[in-house]
This record gives sequence, C-alpha cells and structure tokens, in this order.
Amino acid sequence: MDDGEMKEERELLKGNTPTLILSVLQDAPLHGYAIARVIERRSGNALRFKEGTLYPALQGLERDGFIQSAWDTSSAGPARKVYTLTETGGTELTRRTRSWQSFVSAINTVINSTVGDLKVEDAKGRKPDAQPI
Amino acid sequence: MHSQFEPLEPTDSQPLQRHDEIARTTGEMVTSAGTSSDQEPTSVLEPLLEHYLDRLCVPLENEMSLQARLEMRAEIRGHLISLAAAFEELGSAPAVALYEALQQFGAAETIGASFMKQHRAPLGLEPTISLHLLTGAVATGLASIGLNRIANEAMVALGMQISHGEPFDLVLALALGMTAGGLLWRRRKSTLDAALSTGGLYAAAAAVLSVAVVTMMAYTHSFGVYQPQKLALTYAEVVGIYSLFGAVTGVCGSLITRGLRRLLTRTNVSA
Repeated sequence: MDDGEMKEERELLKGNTPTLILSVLQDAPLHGYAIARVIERRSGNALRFKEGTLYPALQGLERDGFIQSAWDTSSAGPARKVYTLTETGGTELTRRTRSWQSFVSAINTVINSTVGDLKVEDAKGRKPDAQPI
Repeated sequence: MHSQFEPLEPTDSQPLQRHDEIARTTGEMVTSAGTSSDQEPTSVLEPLLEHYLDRLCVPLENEMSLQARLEMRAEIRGHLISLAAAFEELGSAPAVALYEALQQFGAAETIGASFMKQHRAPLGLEPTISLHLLTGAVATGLASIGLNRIANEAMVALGMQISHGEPFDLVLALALGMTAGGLLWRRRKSTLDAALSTGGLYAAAAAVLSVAVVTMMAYTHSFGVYQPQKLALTYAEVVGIYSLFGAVTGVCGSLITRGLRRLLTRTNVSA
C-alpha cells in the first residue's frame, strides 16, 4: 500500500472510529487497549491506526451518552477504565450501521453503474461519423 | 508464547461466536495487561513515558480538571505499558518496545489536540472561537479598561494630568485589550508571552497614534509651537508608557483568564 492509499484509509478510518468502537462494545465491556486489539483482530490486521486516536473518540462517545465508563479495580493489575455500551449507544450503533451500509451501497452503485455504462457503450461501438455538433 | 499481534485466522476456517472471540481476545489482554502491569517501565524508561504524557496533557491544562487529566493520564499510561509489553513479547528490547508503543499510539501533541477538540465540542463553538478565546479576549479587555481608569485616576491624584480621561480612551483600551486577549488566547500563551505580546501591541498602537497626532498637528500648523526633539522625546515616553501598560494588562488578562477557565472547567465537570 502506497502513502496515498494509507492516507486515504486513515481518513476513512478516522471518520468511522466511533462506529467501530460502538460495534466492538456491543458484545462486551472493554478497556481502551482491548478495544484496539479487538478492532485489529477482527479486521485481520487490515485496520491499523494510531491507537491514541481511540481515546478522544471514547471521550466524545461518553459525552454523548453512547457509552459509559467505570474503573475496574478487581483485576490483579492496575485499575483499568472499562467502557460499556448504553441503550442510547445501541440505538446509535444501529443508526450508524444503517447509514454506513447505505453509503457503501450508494458508492458501489455509482462505481458499478459507471463501469457497466462504459461496457455497454464499448459493446455498441461508436460510429466514426458520429461527430459532435 | 502466543502473541496478541499474531494475525487472526480467517473467520471461515475457524468460526467463532462473537462472545467467544471477545472472551478469547480480552482474556489474552487481561493476562497480558496483568503481566505487563507488574512490569512498570524501568527507571531509565520512566522519564520517556512521563515526558510523552506531559506533552499530551499540555493542551489540556486549562481545558480539563486536574482529576480528569489524572484519570486520562492513568488510562493512557496503562495502554502504553500494555502495548510496550506486547512488543517486548515479540522480541524487542524494553527501550525499543516502549519507543514502538509510543509510535503506534501516535504523536502526543496530535492526540492532546484531539482531546481538546472533543472537550470543547459541547460548547458548540468552533475551536478558533472557543470559550477559551472569548474569555481571554473579554478578560484582557476588561483588565485594560480597569487599568486605564486606575492609571488615569493615579495621574490626576499625582497632578500629572487634569483630565480624568475621555470615553475614547476607554473604547481604545477595550479594543486593544480584546484584540490582544483574542490573539494571545487563540494560542494559549503563557503569562510571560501575554506580557510581552500585549506590551508590544500597545507600544505599536501608541506609535501609530503618535504618528497620527503629529500628522494632524502638522496639517493644523500647530506643529511649529513644539520643539521637534522635545516632541520626539514625549512620544518616546508615550510609547514606553504604553508598552509597560500593555505588559501589565497582558499579565492581568492572563491571570483573570486562567482563573475564569478554571472556574468554567470546574463548573463544566461538576455539571
């Protein structure tokens, strides 16, 4: 992957980090480090991002009431801030998922129809005398 | 030892229920975090980690309460230690592992700025015209007016001038103060920067006004009654006094803004 592609992917990822977080938290409460690992693992290491960007996104989601956090002091290690999806967060995830799917579908339609149109045009062939007026 | 960075096997070949996947992943992570948590960075690496966290927290000093910053710091510290431990498991030396962890986490300043942006978002203001900037501008403007009044009254009391000041002085003081405060607090300058920059701005304004007055006097032919050297000295004094006045205004504006910001942050947190 070249620099341009990486930059493009980073931008796409940046806008969708909250959706990824909500999606991951749908299954179980997790701390920040775990969220990063689950995203990495589920994407088959395809989605690599600067992990620090997770925390401002988590802060935003918590502020909006989509997730809530609590310090977990029960484990042997140091206390960890564990995030849980709220009911509003679940609704938001559904909305975001629907919006993402509709966006992808629209993009696919445009890409595919363009390719399709070109193919149809090529198949018909252009008449040599068909000059623009 | 199984590494958490090992690529995930294709889902099709090893179907897993989502809960199982989470449990497996988090299970590893808890174990990893547990071991890594006991392995605090060595005393040599500790300053590197602390320096990184300091840099990350700089933009948030006047944005978040101390408690919120400490919590955020602890949370990120835990993440970085776990990440460094994971790199160590992959064979990196402790120093290299920490460096790699910091690389993967991202630039401290960028993350700090993202936090700041998130923190300001509920105010519904663009970052460039944030509450921080507004409080800075208003506070410095008010400090400028207040000091202008005090200076005028003191000069009248000392017999240095007869007039208690014109309304124009107050308008000018407010405009200059707000401009200085707005420009300074857009970049959240230190108190020293505030003193120097505001002093410079006031001196420049005084110089421009002096030139304007001299030009006006030349046009009205009243220039001849003054000796040029004496006039130059008078205006040099004016510029000097203004720069000093500006510096004091900058300090006052800076202190008031910091106080207001703390108050607002506390209110915001408690709300």
